[in-house]
Amino acid sequence: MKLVEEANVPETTAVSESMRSMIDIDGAIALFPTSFGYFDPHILKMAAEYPDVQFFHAGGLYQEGKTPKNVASYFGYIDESQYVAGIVAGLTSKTGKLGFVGAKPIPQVLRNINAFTMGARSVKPTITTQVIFTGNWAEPIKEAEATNSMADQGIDVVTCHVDSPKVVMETAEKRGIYTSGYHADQSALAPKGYLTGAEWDWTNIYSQLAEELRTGKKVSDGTIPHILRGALKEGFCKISPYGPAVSAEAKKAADDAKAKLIDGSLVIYQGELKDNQGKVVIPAGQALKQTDPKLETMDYLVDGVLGSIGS
Amino acid sequence: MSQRRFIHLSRRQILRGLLATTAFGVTAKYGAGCTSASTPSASDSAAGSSAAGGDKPLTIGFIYVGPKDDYGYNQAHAEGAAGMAKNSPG
Repeated sequence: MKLVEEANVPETTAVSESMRSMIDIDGAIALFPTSFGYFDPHILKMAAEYPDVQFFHAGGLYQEGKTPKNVASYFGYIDESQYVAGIVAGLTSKTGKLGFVGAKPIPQVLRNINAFTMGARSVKPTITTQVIFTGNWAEPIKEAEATNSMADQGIDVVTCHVDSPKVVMETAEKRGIYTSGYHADQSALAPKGYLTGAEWDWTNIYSQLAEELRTGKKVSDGTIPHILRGALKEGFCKISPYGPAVSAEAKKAADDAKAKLIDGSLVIYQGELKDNQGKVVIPAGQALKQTDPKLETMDYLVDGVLGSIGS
Repeated sequence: MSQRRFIHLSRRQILRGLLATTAFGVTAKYGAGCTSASTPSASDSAAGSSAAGGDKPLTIGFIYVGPKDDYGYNQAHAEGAAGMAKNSPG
């Protein structure tokens, strides 16, 4: 297998040019244009133009009957990793106050905030998570301001869901508070305070797809499914190695929860669950598994989260 | 940087010109010639374009919106791509 790559490609016609170049010049038979905003119209247009090329996009945008047949969507339920990271944060925090810097209040971000908070509250029921939305995926100045403001309020563990957690991690480390990472391993940016983090693990699914493509399987003929999903069990996500500040007790609690999420005995979204306005969002006796489509339309912050979606 | 950018643009422009004016065989030949400066195995590219499956090497393309070392979204995908390349050699 030969890998061709291009970085710093904006979500404009530039990405169509890159795709065309990889197909026509490099002879690519499959493309992974990874950014969310590449999908519509760029991937859709190129997929129609090149029906023999297989397109894979990270996210949940594939629509049966509407999206070209040679396109697949893949995504992971990384909120499982956030739940485990929340346990570590909850057992490490001394102030009982956690902070979450989010980009936008969309379902995937809300799932992460809520799972992180529920993980923390599963081990320390009085803990709170202050959330601040910056409004966009890459707002380094606002991310730094939010982190500083959290440190000023006595928050002692900060995590985030923005494209690059670099600024949040570095700012928190400078302020002497703990951090929990996102997307990738940021321990090098915060060697003292980095506890763990919710990381993607794309190697497994990418290697599996490469093998399927090698044996002639295709999305276009249905031999590779159009919708690929997974969590900790399927190896779509993982948690970062524990940092030096994590106690043996926290490690054990986190490892236990991780094992239960993998064997299916722990379900994160269980009733009775209330949002932070006191409204019941999941009634008693009901449990929503990760694959439940209801979770993909999440529009609430759970009890224990300070902040609002409208802000 | 400007040198790299120039090469990149010219690859695309040459491709466009060739596709518009010449037969496929010539395109493939020129295409291979152009890419040899930046990729070590231009012949693999040409082979990869003709068919999927079998024993021919496959070419898979990854595109990122930001730098591959952003400690974030893009790095996670780039690490996955590198892992895939390692697991699926040749």
